Amino acid sequence: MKRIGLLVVALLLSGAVGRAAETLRIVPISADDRVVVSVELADGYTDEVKQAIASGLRTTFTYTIDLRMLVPGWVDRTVATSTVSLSDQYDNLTRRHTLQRVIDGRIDDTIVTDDEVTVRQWLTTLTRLPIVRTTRLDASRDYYVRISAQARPRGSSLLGFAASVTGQAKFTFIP
Amino acid sequence: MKPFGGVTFGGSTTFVDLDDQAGKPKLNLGISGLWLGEVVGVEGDIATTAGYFSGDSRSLQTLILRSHVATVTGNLVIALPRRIAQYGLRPYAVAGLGMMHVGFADNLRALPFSDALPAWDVGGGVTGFLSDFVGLNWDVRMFRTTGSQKTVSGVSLAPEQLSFWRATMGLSIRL
Repeated sequence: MKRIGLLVVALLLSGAVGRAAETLRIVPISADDRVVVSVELADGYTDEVKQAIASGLRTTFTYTIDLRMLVPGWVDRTVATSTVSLSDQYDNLTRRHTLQRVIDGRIDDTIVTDDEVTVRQWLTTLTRLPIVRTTRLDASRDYYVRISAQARPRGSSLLGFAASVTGQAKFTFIP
Repeated sequence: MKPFGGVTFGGSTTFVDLDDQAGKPKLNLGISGLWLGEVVGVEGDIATTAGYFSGDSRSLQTLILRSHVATVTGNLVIALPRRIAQYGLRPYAVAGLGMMHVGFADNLRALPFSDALPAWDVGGGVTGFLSDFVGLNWDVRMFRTTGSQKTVSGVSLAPEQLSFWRATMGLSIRL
């Protein structure tokens, strides 16, 4: 049975840029000796994004995820970094979407669907993405997960006006 | 290992300083190796300042054509305990003994000098690591030759003595 522990004492969701706090929901938890992060980019599936997809352009949401340690009075230490690209290539002839997830340059999963709800969820949601082993974290120290999300093509804005959104979630690691 | 660069300044000497340069800032380059425990450590430090006694080489009024001051010191280091500094800036104090090699030659070859003088140094600094292996270091220390009793005729106004401050910034590479 999987052991899932909440590793937050005080989980604070805060937006670093613009409307990030309202749109980028980040939840770090520990599971099976790893820190895993779930992300939801609410309101990210905009009309512009839909138009870009419908045009047949490959549309990609790229999430850059940094797990950093808070270091008072000095530069915060980056513990782990991961880049996840979620893309959709729509075929106008078959009216099917080819969805692909690439994690750190490695193709993690590919599916084909004609369900727009699945497309929306695919592009705007990351579920339990493993970031780092908990053995690399120090007990009782403060960390934060900072995520920057970008959409391509550039015209397909995430929030109607911003090319990217950034958000972060702080937590204290209690093993 | 700490390769560093910085300036020497605030120099004072009994050597005949034909170009009046001893008190002026000069580029200093060097490298040091440090073994540091929880609090106490030992350090070896090598640095050189080219043109320490030389003025502008393009000026016809410059009398000292070549000069340098090099230091080799072994030092005792007392640092803030690691358990307190943790991942933040770690200040330290340093003091030690060594040699200072002083050399200069004027354009008339009237007052050439090249000799190694016993010296001591004292100072302090702070180190902060950006990752597990690489960090930045800032260091200020004073170097001073110990009271030499011999006077070399013509090259010094009193028993040969030289002191200066050195301020450096460098990389800290943990091996």
